Amino acid sequence: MSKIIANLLTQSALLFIAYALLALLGAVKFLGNDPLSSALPYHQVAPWSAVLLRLAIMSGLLASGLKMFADSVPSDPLENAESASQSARILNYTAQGWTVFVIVAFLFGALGLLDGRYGMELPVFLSIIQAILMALFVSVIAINARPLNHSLAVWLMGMFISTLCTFTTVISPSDPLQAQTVATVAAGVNLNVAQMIAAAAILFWLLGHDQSAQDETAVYLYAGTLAVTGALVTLAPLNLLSANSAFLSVLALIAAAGAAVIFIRWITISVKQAAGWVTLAAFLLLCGLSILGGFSAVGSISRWTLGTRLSDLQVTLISLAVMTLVLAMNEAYENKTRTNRAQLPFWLISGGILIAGFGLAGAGLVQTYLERIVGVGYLETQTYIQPLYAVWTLGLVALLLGAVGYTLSQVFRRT
Amino acid sequence: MVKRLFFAISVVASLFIVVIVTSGWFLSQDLPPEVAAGYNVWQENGCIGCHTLYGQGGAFAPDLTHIYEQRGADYLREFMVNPNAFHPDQRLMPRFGLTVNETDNLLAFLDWATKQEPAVRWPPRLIAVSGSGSLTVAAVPEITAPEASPQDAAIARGRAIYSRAPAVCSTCHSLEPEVRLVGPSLYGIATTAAERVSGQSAEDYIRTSILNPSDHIVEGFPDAMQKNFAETLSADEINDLIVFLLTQER
Repeated sequence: MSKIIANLLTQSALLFIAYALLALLGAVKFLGNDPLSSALPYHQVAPWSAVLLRLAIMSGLLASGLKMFADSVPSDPLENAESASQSARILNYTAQGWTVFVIVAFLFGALGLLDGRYGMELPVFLSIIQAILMALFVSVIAINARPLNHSLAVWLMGMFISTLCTFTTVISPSDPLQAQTVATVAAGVNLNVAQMIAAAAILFWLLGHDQSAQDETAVYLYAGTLAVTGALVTLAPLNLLSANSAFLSVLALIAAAGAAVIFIRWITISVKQAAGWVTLAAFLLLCGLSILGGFSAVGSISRWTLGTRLSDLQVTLISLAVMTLVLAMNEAYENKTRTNRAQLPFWLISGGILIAGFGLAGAGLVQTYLERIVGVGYLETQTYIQPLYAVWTLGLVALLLGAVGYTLSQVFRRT
Repeated sequence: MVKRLFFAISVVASLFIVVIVTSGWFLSQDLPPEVAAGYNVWQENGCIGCHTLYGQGGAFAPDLTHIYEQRGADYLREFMVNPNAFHPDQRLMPRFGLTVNETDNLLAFLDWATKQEPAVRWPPRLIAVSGSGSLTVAAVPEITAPEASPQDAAIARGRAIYSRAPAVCSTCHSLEPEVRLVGPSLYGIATTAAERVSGQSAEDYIRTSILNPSDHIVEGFPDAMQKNFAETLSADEINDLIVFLLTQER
């Protein structure tokens, strides 16, 4: 099983490089005249990079679950009983199927064959294949995980919801409003609820909080409050368009604050065990879900910021938080208590995310003020915020270099 | 046990809230065939990859929630045929080579989208869509018809100045009622201008608004109009533009 985990983590790292490259190509297009506007237009680059990031995260989450599963028992749990060896075969085929699926999805993006559905860009048949493969991974772990420790239980819940959401994306209503609702709910719950729950499990596992009853309380409380916050963040774009959202707004702020407080309370107990990646992921989760997410769930705020770069920033931060946890899991693959070995890539990725986040946040704030409050036209506003786009691009250059350096360091370490 | 219960309840409650709040959105409605066909064009060409609709989608190009009421069908049809002619030095929209039928269907979809409930509630303030560059609207007539009277020729020249560089007034001012771009709609400006300032004729009001825009700021609009038309337009061009605008009566 260790080979499967290593392969999935390598796939995740390679997909992350491809994402970083495409995100950079997309950002360059915001800076002015783009020589690739016809050959590689933005409406091809953006969905492709989004799909690659989601696949990088999912490959990493699956690998992380398998790693937690493998570590939960003394010997390889799939090498003993006859039923277990049957599970091992299923797991092997599923892992191979996942690799083929990832390659096909990559090629679909390269050929511009992705669907024009925001948040659900994979064609329906690929979504079905993805959901089946995820269901197989989750089923094998759920059936064989005895005893079931709490980190793994929380991870399983997250991945179960994520699998359901992936199945939901196959629904393609003919009514545009229905279609947008399905996309928002499926993609939003997948990222903001399911992946947050799975991320919470990985985070506490990496911190070493998976032994005592107190640790158990922490992971359940944290994952629970993240789930509530994530659900309310998901509803923000639909909620403000349809109904009075005051109650849900207050609930979102309370849940977001609760998630932040609970996490800070527990992480400070043994922060010495947390590697740099884990700290970075925790910081990004705090900023992305608790702070930005909490505020974006408040209707009176999000009605002004919806569709600006601030919306993008929120999604990007929490996606990168989960991705950072995957990178942490990759680092901790052999020994979870060791600190960062790839220092330069760590600082390049950390700095890249922070610089890009700063640029995107600045662009979003200026865009909101000029375009939504003052009433300056869309294109004029975009011209004014080009310097901030340059900062964003600079951050993505660092992110790309860091991703390449990180992957190379992992390859050298294992060979 | 309590902590597991808390976690389980949190997860179930989260999903329950999502289902309850969004349940109203799953009510089906019958779409006119041209709107359904237009939605297919929208999806097949990946419009959402660059544009937002009801605030959701790519952020590379303007939100299209209210574009139909802001620009109107003629402008949008012209834009889709040759988008490069509109904002030559800025972000370019690829030419998708849509057929006339596909373009009509797409416009029907955008018209439909503007009239839906989310468009009524959002955005809190209409997002202005504008940009610099020449505007080559095919509807602008040729201005040197030999048989035209001097007055008609002046109106035609004024209309051209309104729509073309260097003034391109149409970028910020619509001639359609209630259509707000960057500045106020100039629908019925000949009538409105005569009533705006006591003792000032419509011609004087319009001339002042062109040469010294800050003197007459319409309530609810920013003081954002260019203030260099005295340099960029000749006296004759300004006169022709005024003659054209004075034809815009309610």
